[in-house]
Amino acid sequence: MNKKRARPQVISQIIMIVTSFTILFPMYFMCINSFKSRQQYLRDPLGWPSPLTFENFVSAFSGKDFVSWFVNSTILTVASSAITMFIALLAGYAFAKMHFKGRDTLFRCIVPLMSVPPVAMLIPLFRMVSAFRMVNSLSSVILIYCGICLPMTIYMIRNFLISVPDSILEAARIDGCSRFRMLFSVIMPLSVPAIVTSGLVNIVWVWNELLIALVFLQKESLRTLVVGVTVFKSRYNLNIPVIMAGLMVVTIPMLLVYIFGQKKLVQGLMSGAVKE
Amino acid sequence: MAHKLEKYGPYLYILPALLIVFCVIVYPTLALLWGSVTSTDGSSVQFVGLQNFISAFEDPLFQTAILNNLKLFLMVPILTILSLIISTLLFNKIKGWKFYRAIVFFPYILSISVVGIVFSYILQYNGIINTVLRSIGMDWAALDWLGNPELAMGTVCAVVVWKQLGFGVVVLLARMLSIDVSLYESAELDGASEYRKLVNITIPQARSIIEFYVVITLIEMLSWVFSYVFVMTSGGPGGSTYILEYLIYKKAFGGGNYNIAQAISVVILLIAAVIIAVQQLLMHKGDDENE
Repeated sequence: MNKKRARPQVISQIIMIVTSFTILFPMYFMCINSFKSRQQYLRDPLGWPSPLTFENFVSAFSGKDFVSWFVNSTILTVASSAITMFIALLAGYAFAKMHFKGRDTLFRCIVPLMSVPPVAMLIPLFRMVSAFRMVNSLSSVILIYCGICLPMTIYMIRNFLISVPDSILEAARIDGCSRFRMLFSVIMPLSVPAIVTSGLVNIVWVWNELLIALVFLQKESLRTLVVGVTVFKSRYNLNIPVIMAGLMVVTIPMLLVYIFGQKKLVQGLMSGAVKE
Repeated sequence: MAHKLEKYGPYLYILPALLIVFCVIVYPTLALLWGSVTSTDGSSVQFVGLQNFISAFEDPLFQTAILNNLKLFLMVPILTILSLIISTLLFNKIKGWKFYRAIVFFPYILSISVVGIVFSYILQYNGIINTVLRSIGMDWAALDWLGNPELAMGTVCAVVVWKQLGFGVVVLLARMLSIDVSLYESAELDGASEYRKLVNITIPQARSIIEFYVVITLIEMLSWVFSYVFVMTSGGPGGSTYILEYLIYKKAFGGGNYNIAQAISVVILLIAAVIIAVQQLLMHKGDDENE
């Protein structure tokens, strides 16, 4: 490295260190304080926990409905992502590889559909769901999450499948493979990269969603983890380490997703952006 | 029979998606438009024209909310410029760039509720930020970040930037990494500065991604910021951090004022439609230039 480039390197490093510090500090604050006793938190909110205690996590989980919140979030996330993926595969397959009247017009509606603000649909949806007496049911929320995730997921799957050469499908067809069987024996195995990336985007979104879960799941035992900790905050207002432990429990599953799927997640976000 | 299946079969594949999207997005949007021009009194529904809109616009909270959403829109150029700067630094492969990329992207996976709760403790008047500021003798800078009506919206905006920055950096960086390296090499031979390379190569090459990022972020500042306000300020202090989404939520589920809430929802919908229409126009213009 010559001298001319040495100074910009130093400035770049300083900028990145300051940025990283700003990003990590709140997370550091949450993490270390979740392992402290309340006394130590009040005395020393920045230092390393000593002694290290898991009591806050125990208190969080022994909160009345905490375990059911965790289960609810898991059910919603798994069910919505799985159903969305299956339906999006069907539709993406049709949009990419079949010919039918109105195909391109319908597909062009997808981008505007992605941009309808959820809050705009909230009141009519709430009326509909109330009319069917489905408020406080996980299945109505799963349906709504699917509806919100579908346009983006179909868009991504279709754009992926369009790059798969028709000759592969032709070959399978000559071997006597029906269109429906082709979905499982050809399309699904081929789409694994697109399934993983768009699936990860949906999982992160559903797990972290607040507004819809807040409005449609009002019964204490049906809350999601994210809504639960928000309510939790006002109840345990004085015991901050317990709140931080609750927030850690919300974050850790997504942290695992992040560690194992960072690269795929980025690809997923990118493919939404790429114009063909 | 086989012929019919060939012809109508494809519709069976898109039918489940169409049904769900119709129930969750299309029908509610149509019902919203109707709800915004009617008034419900018990079980009778009456057409009232623009009365709901007039009542909404006269509400001072509506004006605050619109202004606050405009402040959030100001975060879009800030986010775009910051993302461009950071992604350029990382693109130059400074030491540890992969590590920095992983850190910058990290907030993307966090729940807004988690972010909001942590920040509301850090930023309390007697929170850790102010304690640190006081201990280094900067008492004048230890402000009531979320409790002062003059400051609260700015603080919310800063937290939004904190959470949203990583997405822009990662998307732009990924695009930069796919730009033909020889473009940069020949520019370097000509002795072009970093700034020249950014303006003459990176920005034109990444144009469509930058456009995409700006549009996505505008939509997010309009219709995905509810959670920040709900968790950090609940619209306060003194209504100073109301945004359109929060106002809709409050009118409908706090006051039972569904028709006015729907009129405000139509306003959000129209703003989103304008953003998308402008984007489509720009995109097609770009296509013509390429041809």
